[in-house]
Amino acid sequence: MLNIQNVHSSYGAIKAIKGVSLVIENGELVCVIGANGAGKSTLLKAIVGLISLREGKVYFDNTDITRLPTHKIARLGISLVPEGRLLFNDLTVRENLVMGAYMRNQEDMHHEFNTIFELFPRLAERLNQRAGTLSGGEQQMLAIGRALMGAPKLLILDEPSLGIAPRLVSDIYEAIEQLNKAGLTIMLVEQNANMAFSVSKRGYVMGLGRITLEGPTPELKENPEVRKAYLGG
Amino acid sequence: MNPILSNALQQLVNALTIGSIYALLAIGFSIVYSILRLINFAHGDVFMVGAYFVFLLLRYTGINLLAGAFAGAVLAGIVGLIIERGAFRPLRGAPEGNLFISSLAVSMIIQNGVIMFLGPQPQSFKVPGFLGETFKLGNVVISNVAVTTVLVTIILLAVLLFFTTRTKMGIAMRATANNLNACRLMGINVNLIIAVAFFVGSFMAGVGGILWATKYSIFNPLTGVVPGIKAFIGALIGGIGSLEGAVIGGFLLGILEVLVVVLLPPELSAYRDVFVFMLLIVTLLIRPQGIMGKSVK
Repeated sequence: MLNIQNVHSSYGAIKAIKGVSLVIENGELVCVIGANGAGKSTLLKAIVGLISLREGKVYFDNTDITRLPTHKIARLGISLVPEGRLLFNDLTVRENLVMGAYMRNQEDMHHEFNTIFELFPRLAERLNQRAGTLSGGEQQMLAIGRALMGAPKLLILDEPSLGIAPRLVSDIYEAIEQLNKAGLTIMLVEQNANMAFSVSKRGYVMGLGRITLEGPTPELKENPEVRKAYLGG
Repeated sequence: MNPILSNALQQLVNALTIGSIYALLAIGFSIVYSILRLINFAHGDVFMVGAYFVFLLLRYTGINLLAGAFAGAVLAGIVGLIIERGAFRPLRGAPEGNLFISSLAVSMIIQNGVIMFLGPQPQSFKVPGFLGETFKLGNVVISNVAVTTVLVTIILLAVLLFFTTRTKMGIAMRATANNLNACRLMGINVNLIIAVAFFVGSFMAGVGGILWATKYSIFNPLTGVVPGIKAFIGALIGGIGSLEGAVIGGFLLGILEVLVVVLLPPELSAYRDVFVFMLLIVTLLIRPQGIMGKSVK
């Protein structure tokens, strides 16, 4: 579904990626772990066209999306839940969700509303509250809900556990697993390797702008370097 | 009726009329600022251009006043679109100062363009029939123009409120003010939304200019300058970037201006703008972010 070939890009002075290739197949839940500054978010920005590539190609469903503007990539079916969530803070929860469904018709939108309220009942209680007033965990739920409103083929999550109370992290991870079981392809980018490994079958490890390791999660878990760097020994 | 009361009512009518026009103009400043962080100094000239369009349409075509005013406002909106496309979009991502300088250049181009084609002399704009008449409410003389101005403003504000809270495109306009990249991630074509924002703001300014010309019956190529500055100040007092703030600030400025004239001894009333601007400075000292504005980061 997503095929990234030898991508080079830079964002700021140090956050560069130097020749990343990775593949995500239809229906998979794949994680990409790496320390802060490994280039994970830069890679995601490059995929969705928020920053430009110096070299390499990105294919989505066999379409070359390397030079497409971001809004056209989104319309093809890639939804990114970005680092820092980037909610519309002055808009209500409902309006944020409506924006997620910008490309869809009224009927589909209402149907999607119900799906998201089943997944995150908390959002239903806060429909008319401004997004900026939600707690961190609720904001993350809204960011995921907003991305789902567009009915994506591929959902990309950038650090969904960052800065969120542990109880809400498990709620969010439960939702991620549920979505994948229902057939959604998910790319999960995390610093929190424990959480990421708990839901994914396959993963990549990124360091200093390169993929340093890849394989099935059980193998990655046993890898001494991964254990040392990400799993606390 | 008590003469003091009737005088007060008379002034209130004045204040609401001027305030309406400032509010219409202030909205465009605020919409554009909220999305691009740009203080668009050419906005007052779009106001002036709206008046010229109607003037020319009425003179050279057989169009009636209402249709002419609507066409004039649409043309002002199109001028806004051209300004955005030609002077601001190519500078997307440039420092805010560059955009500001570009808007000053556009302002001079518009003013001098009008002078070049139509001359620097003032044009008189006598509105025939109904709008030129007045009626009396007790001792208060109210012109039909004043009533029309306030009504048109209320209707446009209601339409704007509906647009920005009930339609996808209008909500997207507010969303772009929050975060452009997040909008792109939703599949929203932000260039289109920004163009719509310019059209809406310029349309409103055009309506303001037309009402202004109808009220004062005379205008010239620099007519937009002073109302432009005042509406900008209105937007600032209200809290720049906030639409409610722009409306409140615009009306407040109209009221202040009339109050200063009423309260000052007549020999000082020529300096009314000095007092209005002093009040502005005091307001911003007390509340730097404006009435509806969020605190400055």
